[in-house]
Amino acid sequence: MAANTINKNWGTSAGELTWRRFLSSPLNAFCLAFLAFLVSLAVLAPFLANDKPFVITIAGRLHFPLFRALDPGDYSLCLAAIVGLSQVVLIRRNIIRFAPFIRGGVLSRQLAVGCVIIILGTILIYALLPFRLDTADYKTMVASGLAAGAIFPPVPYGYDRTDLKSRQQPPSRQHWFGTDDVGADVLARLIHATRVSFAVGLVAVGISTAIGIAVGAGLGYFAGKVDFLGMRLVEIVMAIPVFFLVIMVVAFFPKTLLNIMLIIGLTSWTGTARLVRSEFLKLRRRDFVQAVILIGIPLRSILFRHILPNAIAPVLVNATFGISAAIFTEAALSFLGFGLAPPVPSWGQMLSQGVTTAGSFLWWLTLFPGLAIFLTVLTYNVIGEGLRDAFDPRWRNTA
Amino acid sequence: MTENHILLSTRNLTVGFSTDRGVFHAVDNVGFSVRQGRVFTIVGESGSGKTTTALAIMRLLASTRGRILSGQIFFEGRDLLALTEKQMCRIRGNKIAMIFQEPAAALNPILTVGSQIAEVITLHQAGPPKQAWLQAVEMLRTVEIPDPDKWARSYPHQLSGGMQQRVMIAIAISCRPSLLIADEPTAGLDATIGLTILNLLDRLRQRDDITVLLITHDLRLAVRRADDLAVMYASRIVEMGESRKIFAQPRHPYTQGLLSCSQTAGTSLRRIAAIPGTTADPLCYPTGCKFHPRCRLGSNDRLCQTLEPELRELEPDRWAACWHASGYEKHAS
Amino acid sequence: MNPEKINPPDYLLQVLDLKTYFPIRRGLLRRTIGYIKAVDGVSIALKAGRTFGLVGESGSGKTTLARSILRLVPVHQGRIVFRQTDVLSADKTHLRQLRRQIGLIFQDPYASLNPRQTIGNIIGEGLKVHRLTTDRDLPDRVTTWLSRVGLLPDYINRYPHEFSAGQRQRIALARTLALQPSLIICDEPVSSLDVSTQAQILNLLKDLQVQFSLTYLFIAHDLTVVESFCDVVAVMYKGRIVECAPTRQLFENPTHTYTQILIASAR
Repeated sequence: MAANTINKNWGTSAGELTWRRFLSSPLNAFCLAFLAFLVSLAVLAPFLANDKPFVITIAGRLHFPLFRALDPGDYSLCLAAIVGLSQVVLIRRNIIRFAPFIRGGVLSRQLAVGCVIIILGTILIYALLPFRLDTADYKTMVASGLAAGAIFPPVPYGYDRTDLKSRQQPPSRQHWFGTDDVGADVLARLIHATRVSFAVGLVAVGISTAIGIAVGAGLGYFAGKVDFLGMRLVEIVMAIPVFFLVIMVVAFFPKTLLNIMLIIGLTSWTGTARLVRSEFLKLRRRDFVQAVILIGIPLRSILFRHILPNAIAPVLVNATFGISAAIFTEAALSFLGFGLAPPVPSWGQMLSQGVTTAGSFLWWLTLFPGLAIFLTVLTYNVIGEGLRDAFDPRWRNTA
Repeated sequence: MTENHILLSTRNLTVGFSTDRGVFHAVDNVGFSVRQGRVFTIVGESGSGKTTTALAIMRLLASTRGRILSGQIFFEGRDLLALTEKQMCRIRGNKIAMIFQEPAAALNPILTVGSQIAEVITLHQAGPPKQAWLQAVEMLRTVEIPDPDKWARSYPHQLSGGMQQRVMIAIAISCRPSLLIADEPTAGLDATIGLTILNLLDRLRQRDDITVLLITHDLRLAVRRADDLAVMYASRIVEMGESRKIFAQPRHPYTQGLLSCSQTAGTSLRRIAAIPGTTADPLCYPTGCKFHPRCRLGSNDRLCQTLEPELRELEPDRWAACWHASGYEKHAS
Repeated sequence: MNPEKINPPDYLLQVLDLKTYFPIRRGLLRRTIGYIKAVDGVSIALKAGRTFGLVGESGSGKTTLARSILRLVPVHQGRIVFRQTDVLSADKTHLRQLRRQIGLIFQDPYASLNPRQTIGNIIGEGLKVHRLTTDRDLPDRVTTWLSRVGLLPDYINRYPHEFSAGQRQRIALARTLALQPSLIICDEPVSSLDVSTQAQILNLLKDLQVQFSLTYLFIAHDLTVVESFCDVVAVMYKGRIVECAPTRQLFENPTHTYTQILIASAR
């Protein structure tokens, strides 16, 4: 097996080797596929579980209620997913088409264009899409014969529908995973809650990783007094208990998804900062960094184009575990009632409905959300471990 | 020719490595004999397989990605490869000892130097710990570390490179092994320190009648210290025999190249006689003789390009693997 | 060599009574209780086009001296003059220019190249930063430098982990040469290499010196290498120069005991 199957003269970068090592384990590949499945659930949630049909014929005219009722958020998420998918396809194509020497510039331009499209697109969508409220009950219309030819999504229930007649029903043919306290379909809420866990995971960890890298790089590279004082501040932040801080914040501020993500993000960056700091301390004295300083490269280049790519491995592994921890934290908070409030669906919150005030145990409200949390957290942890093994220097070629 | 009996011998030893890019043989069909009381040197560039051979003899390949694929290793009459791990543990450190390339990496940073020596003694010899400690201090004295009482209580990072290497030697000889494998003992040390280490090894060897298997990339070391020599290139032995005879008349072009390189290095000649090209990449060896692309005789020779010469005994105790070696064609294998 | 008697225009680099001390800090408040005198009053002078050898064992301060000249470590006292420019008092812009004119080759070939960059980027980065070439000509320039150090132009797309120690040193050389320096400080460039590879790299260095009119400050711990390579040799011991003389003279008539020990161990 040649090192590079595309062109014998092209070397394989460390990143490519890591990726291949990662995929060489079937478990890792499976978890990545499962993650892709969860992402599709999150993006396509309104198309999978909605009480409005895709298309319906009323008085001879075609209507598309589902599409008309979509949020700007739904549209921009779809846009981001499409752009993301095309980026992946383009990356594969560019790796084949361009030699490693010029590939770097091509890939960064491509990613930049993708980000710009997402941002501009999102702004446009929010600006141009009018707000519509549609409270028509399409199911009764079909049932009473006023409308015909309706095509409903696979789970024909919205996540926020209340139907007090069918509260707390166990799984049946109508409600495959049963209903909850207020009669909403559990499967529909389960699917929509995927969005919440991804949002919490990615945004919270995104914030904490960004802050962690910035602080760690600064402390590690400049060392000396800066490091001494800085680490004492970091240690102060580390001493803050996240859970109790959230509870406090929730008491004073509205219980929005954004607030929770912000709090988790703003308090959990310390681990990453320490990792990054130790890597930077180690790497700044390495010969290749000294060589690059002698060439006269500006400081920001040294930090982010030379040292950081070599320091990123433990950060990525940590971030993956951070995502699973963030998801778990949010679920725990929601379970205790400090997290998101209904009607926003969250797995933890659904879990809390499993035991009623009357004392009865509704197994379908425990099993399915619990399984969802378990599988998601497990997937991220397996991927994190897989990454750690893939980065392991023991796997490098030793002649 | 001495009548010393053979202490260690290998036959058809082959070690394979699996990497991201494929499987290759780090050691290919290697066979040699080390006689009691003599210094046997294996000379080769990095990547030639010499360190892997040493690790294979000690059966320490588990920490690498290599596996012994075939062959036998006879030590004092027994095949080491047929022993259980438990039996092998009683030989390592006790009958066969090894000192490694980088002393700083081979010593445990959290244990004192004295306790590391005492640990080996306790493992292989019965006796109270106090006795082992005293023996450890005695060993430090033997390797000529001044004030051994004080240094026995210090940690490896407090010692200089040369002293760390002496400590490694002390650990190695503490149980009076019959065979000492020294893998590049002077690498990473300054020339002056390296010289003192080699002199120390000489003295110890004569004092305790230890047989030494020396591994190095520096032919000049072999010139000074070796009795018997094996030259390795790209996982195979290409020349072998008594070192005096090899240096007087090297039969393999690689040995000739190494010799002229080390001889012209220290002079004031404008250019050193270097062997052109780089070591063969183990994942894509050339066809035929592995050395032929760099060989002044073989680079244009059809035979060298297509058929790999095997190691043949040209005279008693004189081996070479080259179609152009004098005396080669005469003996059919 | 008495620095005061030197006629400045003749020398490319002069180091005058250089002292580089590392403070030893102890205690909670990190108070300085003493100094490690890595370089303790060293004066050397390099003539253009020649090779100046600096020999000593580890701990003698030779690597610290090399890094002091390039201001990679803070200097305690002394003067360094490169082509009539005072190095120690140069501002950021001038220091950048000076560092372009003085190159440094490191000892460990496995640590001196960024494992994440292609060889082309490693060599081309200097060209880009100093705007020595246009973007279009960059690949050509890089491949030219690759062939000048004896490597194939195809290597531009490869990564450091695919090369041997000797080849990595060649890449490091190409990186330095691309900036077209007049002085190259070689900090034990062949100590980590096999003897056979050492020979190749030393031959390459000699050829490049003639081709590009380079001056070398060659640091080593092994006198054998120095004997054939250098015109003048200075012997360093515990931060000081104990002897300095033209090569032949040093080897035939060593005056200092330490020099004699070094020569004896090389033979």
